[in-house]
Amino acid sequence: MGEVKNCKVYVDVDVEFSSEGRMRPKWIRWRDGRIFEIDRVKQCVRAASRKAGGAGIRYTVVIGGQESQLYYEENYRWFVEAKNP
Amino acid sequence: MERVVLHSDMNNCYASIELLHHPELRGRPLVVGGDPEARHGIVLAKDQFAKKAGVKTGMALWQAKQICPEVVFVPPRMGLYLRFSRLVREIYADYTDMQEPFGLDECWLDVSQSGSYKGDGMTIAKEIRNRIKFELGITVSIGVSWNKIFAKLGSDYKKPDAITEISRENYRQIVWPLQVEDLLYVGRATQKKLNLYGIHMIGELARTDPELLHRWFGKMGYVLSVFANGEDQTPVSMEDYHAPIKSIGNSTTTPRDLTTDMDVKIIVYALAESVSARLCENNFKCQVAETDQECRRPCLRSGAGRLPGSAGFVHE
Repeated sequence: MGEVKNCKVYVDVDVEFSSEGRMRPKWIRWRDGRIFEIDRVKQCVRAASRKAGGAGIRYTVVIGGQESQLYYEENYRWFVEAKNP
Repeated sequence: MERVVLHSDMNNCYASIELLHHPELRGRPLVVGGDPEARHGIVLAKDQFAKKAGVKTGMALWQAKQICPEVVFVPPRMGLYLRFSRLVREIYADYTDMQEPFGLDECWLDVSQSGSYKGDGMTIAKEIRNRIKFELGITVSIGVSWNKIFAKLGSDYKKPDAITEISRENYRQIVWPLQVEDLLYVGRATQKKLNLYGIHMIGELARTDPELLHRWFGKMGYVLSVFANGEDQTPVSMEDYHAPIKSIGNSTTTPRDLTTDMDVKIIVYALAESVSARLCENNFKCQVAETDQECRRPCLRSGAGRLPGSAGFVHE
């Protein structure tokens, strides 16, 4: 079994809570401080990330034309699967 | 209409949840237990590699390390396991409100009324299995049958990540060749007694005269016969049903050996306080008290006795 690098990265997320109780992530702050605006949320489903190591509500978001996945772990924390851990 | 009962069992529950959250530990023997540095704790759960190495649930951590030197210990996180147990039951609730949990990781589901809009038992079982894998990243084994006992045997039959249907057409081929101790509520003592009478397989138990079983085991004998023949009709409880509490207890593994009477008294009083508090919370008084002590050797001593009156406080 090869060494598995942990690619779970917790990130700061700005979230909008609607009057209907829905959560919409607005931007993500990466660990180097860069802010990535979320253009739109494509999908929102309960899902696990075996790669990152966690489970929660998975938001498929579009950032700068690229699709990414952002997970809300339901413990007030958000994580992503980092491509380069 | 024939009932459709599922029994769903989360495979190596605690260990699987920890391995989901620790990708770097996958492929290595893993044990979820107390704190090996503080010499405190037992094996609460193990993954398939630790199981293959001979680690058993309930074993002291030092014993597990002896048997499997490369084992990795992770401390338990009950809050996390409770969350996953709740999330799994939310999935079950999409198919039926007749759910009867059996611990954190097992659950019976009566999906008899769900057939018209969710499909038959196997279809529902497949959907549940796939959803749990996708949404929670862990696997379950599911048994499908017309009664709770065979549904549970079905989930035990093939692990991990499997579905076994035990039908009226195949139960003699699947269930009857199994060992009697695989049957629910057949513990070591009942197994030993059945074996002494020459009954080793569930099929042999099923074919034994129920009156003979009654003579050997009292009314439990009838129950065993019913179970072995797939005639159990006990219903799967509703979602919000809570079984009455029949006993309250507490136990601990001490960080060092207890060598004096005072050592033992302190621990016994601490445990008795906890039990007493919970008796009071539930407005109970007890009439029978039991103690178990496990020594290093190893040996297990048990004692039980009826109290002169009802008791609820530590000094009683």
